[in-house]
Amino acid sequence: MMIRTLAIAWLTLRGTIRSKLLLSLASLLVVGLVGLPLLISGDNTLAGQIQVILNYTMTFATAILSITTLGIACGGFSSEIQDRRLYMVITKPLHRYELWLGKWLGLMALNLALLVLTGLIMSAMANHSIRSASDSPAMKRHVSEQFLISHRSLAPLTPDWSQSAGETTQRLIQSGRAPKAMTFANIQQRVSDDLLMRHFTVPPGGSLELSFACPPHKRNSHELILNYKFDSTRPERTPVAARWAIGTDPAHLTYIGVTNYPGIPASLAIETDLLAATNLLTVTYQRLDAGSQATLLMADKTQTPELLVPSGGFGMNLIRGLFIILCRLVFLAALGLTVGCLFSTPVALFTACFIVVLLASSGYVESVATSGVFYIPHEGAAPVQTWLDRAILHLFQGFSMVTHPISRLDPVPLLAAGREISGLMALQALGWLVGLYSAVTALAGIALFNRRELG
Amino acid sequence: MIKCLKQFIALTGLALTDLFRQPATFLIILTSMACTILVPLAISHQLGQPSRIAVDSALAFEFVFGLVLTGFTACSTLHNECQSGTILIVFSKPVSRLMFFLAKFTAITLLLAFFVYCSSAASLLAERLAPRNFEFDILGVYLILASPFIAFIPAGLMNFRTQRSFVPSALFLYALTLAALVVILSTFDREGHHVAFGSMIEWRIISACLLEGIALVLLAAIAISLASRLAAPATVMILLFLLFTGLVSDHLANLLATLPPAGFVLQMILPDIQHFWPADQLADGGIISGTVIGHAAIYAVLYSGGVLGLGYAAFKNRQF
Amino acid sequence: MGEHNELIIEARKLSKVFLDFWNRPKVKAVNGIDLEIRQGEIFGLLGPNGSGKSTTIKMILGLLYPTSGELTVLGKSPRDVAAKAKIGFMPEESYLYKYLTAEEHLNFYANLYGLSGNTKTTIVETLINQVGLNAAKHRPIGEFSKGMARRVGLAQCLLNDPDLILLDEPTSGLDPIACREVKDLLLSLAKQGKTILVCSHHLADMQDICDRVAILLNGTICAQGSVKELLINPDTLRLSLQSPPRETLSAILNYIEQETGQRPNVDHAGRTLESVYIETVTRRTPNP
Repeated sequence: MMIRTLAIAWLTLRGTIRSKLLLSLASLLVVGLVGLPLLISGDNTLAGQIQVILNYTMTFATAILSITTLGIACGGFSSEIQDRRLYMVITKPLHRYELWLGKWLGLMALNLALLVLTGLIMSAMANHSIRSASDSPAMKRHVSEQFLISHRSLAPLTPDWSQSAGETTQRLIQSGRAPKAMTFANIQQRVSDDLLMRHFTVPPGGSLELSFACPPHKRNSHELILNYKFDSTRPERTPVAARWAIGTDPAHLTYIGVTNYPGIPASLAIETDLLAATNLLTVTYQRLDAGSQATLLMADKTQTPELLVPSGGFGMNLIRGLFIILCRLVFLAALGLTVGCLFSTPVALFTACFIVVLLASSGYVESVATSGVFYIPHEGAAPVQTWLDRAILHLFQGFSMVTHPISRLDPVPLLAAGREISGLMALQALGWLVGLYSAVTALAGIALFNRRELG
Repeated sequence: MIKCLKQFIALTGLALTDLFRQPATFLIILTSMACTILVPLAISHQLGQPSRIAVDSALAFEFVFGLVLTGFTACSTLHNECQSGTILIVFSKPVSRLMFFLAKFTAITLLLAFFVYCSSAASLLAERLAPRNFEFDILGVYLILASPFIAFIPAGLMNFRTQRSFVPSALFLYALTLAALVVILSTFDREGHHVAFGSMIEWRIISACLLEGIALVLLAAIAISLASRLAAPATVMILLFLLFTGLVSDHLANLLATLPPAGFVLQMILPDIQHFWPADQLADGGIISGTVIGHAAIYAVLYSGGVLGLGYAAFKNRQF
Repeated sequence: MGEHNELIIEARKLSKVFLDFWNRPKVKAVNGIDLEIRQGEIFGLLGPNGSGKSTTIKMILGLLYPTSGELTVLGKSPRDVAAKAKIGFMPEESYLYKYLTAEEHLNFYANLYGLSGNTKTTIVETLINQVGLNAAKHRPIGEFSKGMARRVGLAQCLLNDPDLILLDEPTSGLDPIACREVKDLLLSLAKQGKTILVCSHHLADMQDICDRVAILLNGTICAQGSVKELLINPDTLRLSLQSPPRETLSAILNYIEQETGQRPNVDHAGRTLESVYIETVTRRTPNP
């Protein structure tokens, strides 16, 4: 079986080499990956440039490889059925699943080669950009620390307010102040969000203490990065003067002065030797504008301050990211081959693109599935479900279950933000995208191909 | 002369029939219509300005799907014929290559005219169906959801009884259904009350769709010229590249200005797609004037003429 | 022709109906045919276009599935993959990968048969020589003429030393000498006990090589039997002799007329165009 499958895989790969497709794609990737950072200048900072390299080029490479994979996979069977080349192969002692798997493997070999090329170019571009930048060595080090090292995100330690949220909810319902259409869980969630916002509120002249339980960490190595953003209760966007106090011992506090603008994300580099022996990092945001009238809301439910702790090198992070993209391409190849078994090349390509667009719309699907209404009524109106909501909701909820694992396994934003792409995430990608989605699609494809007559 | 005309009509007619019978043509047009009509409904509550979103997205869909349709049809009608050898039979007859080439271009242009007609109708409906004050046009929604059934059931029945091809019947019936829906919704308001004909429809959209149609014809000239030598993936890739350069043309112009004279030449060669993007002119109650359309048409004719000349030069020397 | 014992292909009431989108019968391509092809036979399937020849071959190959009836190939279902290890197939057109060379093609198909190492190399080289493509074995198929591509098609069909060989228009696109070589090859393969099913419009070729033929029309078998049986007209005799003197010939004819009451037709024995062509080309082609 192995010889036959590999023979088909090698044939597929060799076809792409001889038809100069591999060369064309490699050239396109080189031009795109090198050219895009030149074309898009970002925010004219070194950090912006590195983000362009990591984000835009990775997205570009992913898009090109996805389109190509779908295109080749859709034509893999349909074009050979159409021009009858498959007759010569299928009449040999070869199971159809071997043929299917061979094509799949061939495509993956092509993708693997191109992904390796992508990784090498991206890595070289990012390192070269930092080395050749005219910025100060400190800035270069900071940018390098921020993007070319993978970081794990830590949330600040917060009190467990589930009990008080439950009690408050109970009180609201009993007093009749809660909307009747809302469920207990919905109200409790709203109350929890409210408690969270109150916790992270800083009045004028006030302060907010944040504590992070860091993992054991090597001193004097890479720096820690505190990311935060706040919004103002006032419409005017005046800057806020403040300082961060690092540490717990009042005699040995380290102060860093900052000026923050509402709505604009900010970050703070913290040397690792400021970590307490217990690996607990305590930082306090102290507002120095007591005369201001604006209260600062330091967080909402989707964005609390976070501490980025170095967790590994850029190389391994990039490899894990590329591996997840490879898993996505495995699925796309399976999808393309499956629809290619059924339809002619253009129709197959069209159908596959349609399915991919559906899967890519997972954000919208999820918002509908979680909000419970297809069309949200205006503020103040009762959330009455229309007939359309009822009809579509169940469909979307089911669909959301399918699309959720795909949408959350996106390595590009993580890589571009210098976040860690964990081994667990890579394993999840392998399990979900290859083990489940691709396997189910492949089984369906093979079953359909087995039933297909080649007239 | 008459003989030439007859040949031209025969070649164009055959190419057009073939294109209309392709399932991919049907799918591309149908999906474009579905996206145009349904997507604004789905996203309008998240972004606000539902009417503008409906129009903008409808115009964007017309551009993107029109581009895909152009690339696909150009390759299907020219490159694939060269590959499969059917072109040899045509050229064994007293048919000039120029006539063959122009007939193929004309067939794509006619198909695009049909597509623009459908897109215009769908865009008018999308604008009408966009929610106002967070309320649906229930009558419109019911009618639009029923429209595929109204068109496809008779087409299916025709196929069942007469074995007539489903795809062109379904396409034409769907186009008729959309036109009928525009007429019906022109005479009723959102509450179902009878109103003066057309008072509830944004007719300005038609000129915007027409402007885009002219751009698509220009792209068709490029596509057919490329298809004389290249296969579908390469042709579509180049078209997408041109669309991309068109979208970033301002930025590109600044970049190219720093590279004289190569930059100047490149700027002259690349089609100026932004001249054909009407969404900004439509915003805030603006209209696309006849002068704008006229200028765009002249630009498209001149540009297409040049591109077709180059395409024919490539096709003339091609050996089969 | 060897002993015709083992049944290699057996079809009983075999039918194939193509359906339309609504699942209604559209075309009845094969209509209840019975077929028995035995080991060592060269069996010809004849018939006009659309008579069901290709459909029958595709069913034997497992590419199409019968609507009704029974079909066994080498004692197994046509869809049995193991049976295909003993089958060689040469389609009407050589559907090959234009970017691969002749040698790469044969290596690829040899891999599909599970051949490897020296065995594979030897077989591939032998076949390339046998079909006369040694000089062109490193050229991509895209540059081949139709006849050269047909030779690759024939070579891949023989890679696995098949027991059953299915050939769809095997001589189409070949020049007369290559045609003769193919026919000789088929006859020698049949002598080795291979079973051959040929589907062709070239009646002269079929007459040259086939032991038995079946004539298909509208999906049914109109006539079936050995070529000799079908061709022999038992009421008519042909007498051949070196041209005698005019007087002798006249005497012979008069004698026959007296004895039988019939005046026989007399003409010169003709040669086939094929034999003239082969003789001419062979004479003028310098030896390599």
